[in-house]
Amino acid sequence: MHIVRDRAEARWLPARHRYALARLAAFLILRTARHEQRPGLILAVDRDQSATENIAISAWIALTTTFYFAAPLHGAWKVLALPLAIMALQVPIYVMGAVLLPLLGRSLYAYNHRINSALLWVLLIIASSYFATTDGMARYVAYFFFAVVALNAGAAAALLLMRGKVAQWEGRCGA
Amino acid sequence: MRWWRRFLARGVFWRQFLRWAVLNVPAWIEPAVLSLWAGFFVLLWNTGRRSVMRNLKAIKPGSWAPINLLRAYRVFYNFAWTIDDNVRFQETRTIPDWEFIGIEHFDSLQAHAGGAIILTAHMGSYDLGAHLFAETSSRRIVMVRAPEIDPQTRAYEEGRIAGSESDALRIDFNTKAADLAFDLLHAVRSGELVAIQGDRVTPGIATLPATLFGTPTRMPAGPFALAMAARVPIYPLFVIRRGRRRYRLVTCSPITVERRGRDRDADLRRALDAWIGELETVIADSWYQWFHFEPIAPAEESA
Repeated sequence: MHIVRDRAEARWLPARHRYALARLAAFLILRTARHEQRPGLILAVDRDQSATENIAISAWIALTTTFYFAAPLHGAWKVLALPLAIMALQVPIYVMGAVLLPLLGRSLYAYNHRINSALLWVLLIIASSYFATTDGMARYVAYFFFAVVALNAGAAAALLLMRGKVAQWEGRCGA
Repeated sequence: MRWWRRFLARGVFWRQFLRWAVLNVPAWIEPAVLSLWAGFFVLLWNTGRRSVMRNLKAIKPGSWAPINLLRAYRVFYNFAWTIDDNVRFQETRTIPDWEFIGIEHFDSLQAHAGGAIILTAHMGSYDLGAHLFAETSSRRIVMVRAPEIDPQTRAYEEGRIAGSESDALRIDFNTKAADLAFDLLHAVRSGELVAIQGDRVTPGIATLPATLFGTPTRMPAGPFALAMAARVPIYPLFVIRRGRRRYRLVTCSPITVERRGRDRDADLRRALDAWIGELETVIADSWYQWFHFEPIAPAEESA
């Protein structure tokens, strides 16, 4: 695994972020960040390293799913939506990683992040497509979901055009 | 062995499940998943929760039980992340970000010509810290761990640890105190670093009476006796989780254990008091990181 030592601004390396929107935001911050020497600091360069990105996505998806679960519930039952949503988000991972993939001959302890991540996004797109057509509050949550997905696609296109510059700045920062 | 024992809080099922989850749960949904599982264990593992709440009462005198329940959740949540990061490192060699506090002491430890003892606590990921140390240092390190209580979990962990050992890192379990003492003395005299956890006693090891946060307890005597016998310094070192995949390594000034007179216990006591001073400072500041799931006071004292 690649690491960068003693450079505080390296926390904004796009390579430390997974999704295009976060990578683009990190790149813009990196361009304006001042060089800051911090002896003893070790920063790992891994796509899933950013706490801000992962916690933000986790909270956003948990809330989105909570709204979807709350939609058919009435009155006080709506308080159950959050725990139900977080439990439900895990079900596809268990089914895919512990049942379907081993049945297809993949080891139980295989690295399945990409498959499970893609599965969850597909299920979220299907659920959001359904709730976008309903009349309740959940449709605005679904619209927001698609707005973020569209913004991310735009950011991916922008990053593709700027890939040379991004690599240059990352190299300058020791990545 | 009853089949259901593997599903108890310290059972092997949860270690296997954690390993599976690290390999299957996408990083972007992990915070939500871990927050739920931490809550599950706080609610269902009565012994662990009560011990943490009792310890919090000692660390924060006058604190309210409902607030300490929320604090206990924070301890469990941090513990969940810590063991998650540790397994991720074992499985994928993914390391977190590190920052150093007391880097001058850490450098002095690295530069120290002979052997030394690293005294640490059940905070942050001490396993991850030892691996990081072994990978960033040219020094060989011997890490002493308390064995798991559950026999299946012990076998599972020992098997996994055997696979993660390297030339730079050896892991010993303090199951046979006398044999291990000779091994460690030999290691430290031949210039190796020995990392020991000094905040919890396990059955069968020598202890010294102590007071932690005003509560009478017992602390391991081994690290201090070893330092005295081998004439090596003790470096208190703490690994503290600062956030998602972010850790801080705190190295304190070394403690020397000198034989000053006929009273050996008084000399050990001086070193122990210095250690407890460091331990209390760090725990008071980072109580949510102290993964001490047994009460500070042993049963006979608390009764």
